[in-house]
Amino acid sequence: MDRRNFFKSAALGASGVMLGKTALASSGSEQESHLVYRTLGRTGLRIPVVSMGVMRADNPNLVRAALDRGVVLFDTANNYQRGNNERMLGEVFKDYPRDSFIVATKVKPTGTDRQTGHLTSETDPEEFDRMFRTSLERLQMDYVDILHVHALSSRQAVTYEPLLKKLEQIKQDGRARFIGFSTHKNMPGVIDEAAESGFYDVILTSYNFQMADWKEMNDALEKAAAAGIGLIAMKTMAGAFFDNDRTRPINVKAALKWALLNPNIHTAIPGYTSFNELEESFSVMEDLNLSDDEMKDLRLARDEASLFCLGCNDCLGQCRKGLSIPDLMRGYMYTYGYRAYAEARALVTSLGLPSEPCSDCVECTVTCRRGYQVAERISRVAKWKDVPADLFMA
Amino acid sequence: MKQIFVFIGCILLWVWNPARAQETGVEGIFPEVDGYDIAFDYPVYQPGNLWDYINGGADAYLSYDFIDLHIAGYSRGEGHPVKVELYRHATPVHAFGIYSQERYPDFHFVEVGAEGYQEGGILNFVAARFYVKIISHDDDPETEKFILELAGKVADNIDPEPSLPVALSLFPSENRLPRTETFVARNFMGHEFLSGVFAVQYEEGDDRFTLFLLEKEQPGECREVLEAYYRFTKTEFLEGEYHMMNDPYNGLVGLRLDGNRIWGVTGLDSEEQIRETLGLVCIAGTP
Repeated sequence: MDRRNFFKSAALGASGVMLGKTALASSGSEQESHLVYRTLGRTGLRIPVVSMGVMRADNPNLVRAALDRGVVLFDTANNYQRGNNERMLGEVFKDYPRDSFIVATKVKPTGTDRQTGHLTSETDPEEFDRMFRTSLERLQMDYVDILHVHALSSRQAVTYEPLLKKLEQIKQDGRARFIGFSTHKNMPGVIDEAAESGFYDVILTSYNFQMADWKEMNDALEKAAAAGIGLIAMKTMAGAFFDNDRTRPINVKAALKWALLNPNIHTAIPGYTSFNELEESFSVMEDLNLSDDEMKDLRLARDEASLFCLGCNDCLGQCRKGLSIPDLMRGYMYTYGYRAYAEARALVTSLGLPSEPCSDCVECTVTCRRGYQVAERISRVAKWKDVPADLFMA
Repeated sequence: MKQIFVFIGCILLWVWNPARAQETGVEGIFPEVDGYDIAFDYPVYQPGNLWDYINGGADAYLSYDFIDLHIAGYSRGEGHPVKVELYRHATPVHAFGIYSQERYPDFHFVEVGAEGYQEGGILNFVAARFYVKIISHDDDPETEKFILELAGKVADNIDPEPSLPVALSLFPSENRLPRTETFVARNFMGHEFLSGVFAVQYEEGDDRFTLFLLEKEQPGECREVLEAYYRFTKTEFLEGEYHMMNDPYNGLVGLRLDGNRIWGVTGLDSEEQIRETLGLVCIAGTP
């Protein structure tokens, strides 16, 4: 088969599959055609629990393969690859029936206060609209299925009225069927606010096994799902390794399964860039249950030597010396998680620590939600400030 | 105990590292400009928190060995500041790679750094290990002119004589589509065994195709790549210079083994065309 016929056949094959199973219409059981489907909240969209985060993919044939494999929802953003990601999707999707796939894109509002996450008087809804029109042009579409406001991180931003009015108008114009937002900071509060507001149809949130014991997060998800919001998980892998020596990579399949075992999560968007990764992600639908080995892997990741600060900020203000604990925990993650020594040193140095920050405290007043021995970790990473800077410049 | 070894190792490295004396800080790259104040209001972003700044876009940068991001704001009066972002990557090739992922051939290209373009209030370019973005909310001619001048100074501070990766000069110029050169760090064409690949698009008559080049340290590594491709297509490995892969996802892909290089072509329909093209490429590409 030559290349042109291959593409033609792939497109027809994929659209046939999609139309045959009426993927977007509501239907009965979770298990259909070896894929696991869930309904994306009040949108009523029936989609496989594994979708595609297109963000890093630059090969249109990978998107075609994903369509062929049964992926329905494709997630991109206005700023991914400076628009090339949307352009690539547009070139692929123009050969497929519009109702055979769901495309979600994100637009980031201008004027977000970096410290508070609030939208401000600098936030321009018209500029947001202009960027969204650009996205539609790149995608070669009249409408997207889901328009996300990109990266909301405060309750205020979730209910910022000028932007809500613009989003409402976009929806009424038929340029977006559903409105959502993405969040990867202060998620519980942001999700909770959205559940209260009743405005949003969908939320795309960071969610991974490191959050197993984070009650506020899991409660917020439950509340949002009960309010009819469709919930999509991203960043399900939570980093590549979970031990200091980087000898034990995180079990990617187990991590994806863990997120999907929460019935409030309706789909996830792993960002695969290879055909093998596509197959690996899809294979979790053969059995969503975690095997004993997989559970052991995740338990190790969570309990044994977890490196990743949740960023819950519960520890803020607990240190009697006023140390920025989340930043120091991040420094620990750079050191032992990423082995990014230059970054660890730069971060720790920027905090202006005293020479031995914990030396005159008899007992540490900081209680970490994850049970990290905060003082011990600080004593390790504080040493970076004594290491010469140009050591890592090469 | 382990952390002690890490620090001892670091100190030893510092002592014998002959390159350290020549290194300069990133701050020196930001030029002073008459009439403008410079502010460093942003933190230095690193792999662990780049998400905080560019959200999901960060993953792509991380896959191109992103080191850190330094940001400065240039302001005059009460207008919006012009923001300069320096994305530092592990090598010039990786910086070019992420730049090439975000560049589009139809942009308005300008003579800054190794390659750059200006669109409204934005000017992006690549120079040495840096992918530089200069951003303004204003796109009036005066601001655009200032941005271009500022970009020139930043580029000079990074490298007065920047160039694109040498490997790109091995590609033939005939029928080459300008500004389509890319470097893909991982999973070229969706294959894990095709990493570190340079690719350029060509157009000849009705045919539009992509030539690509993969360079390894040793010829044996190239053979391993070929073997992996054969395994993927579930066909038996055949010795020889030319290899035709019936890739179930990418169609017909031609490869030519050339010592420690593999040249490839995708987008052509016939083996004859592929052989002809790869023959020309290799002849043209021999240094």
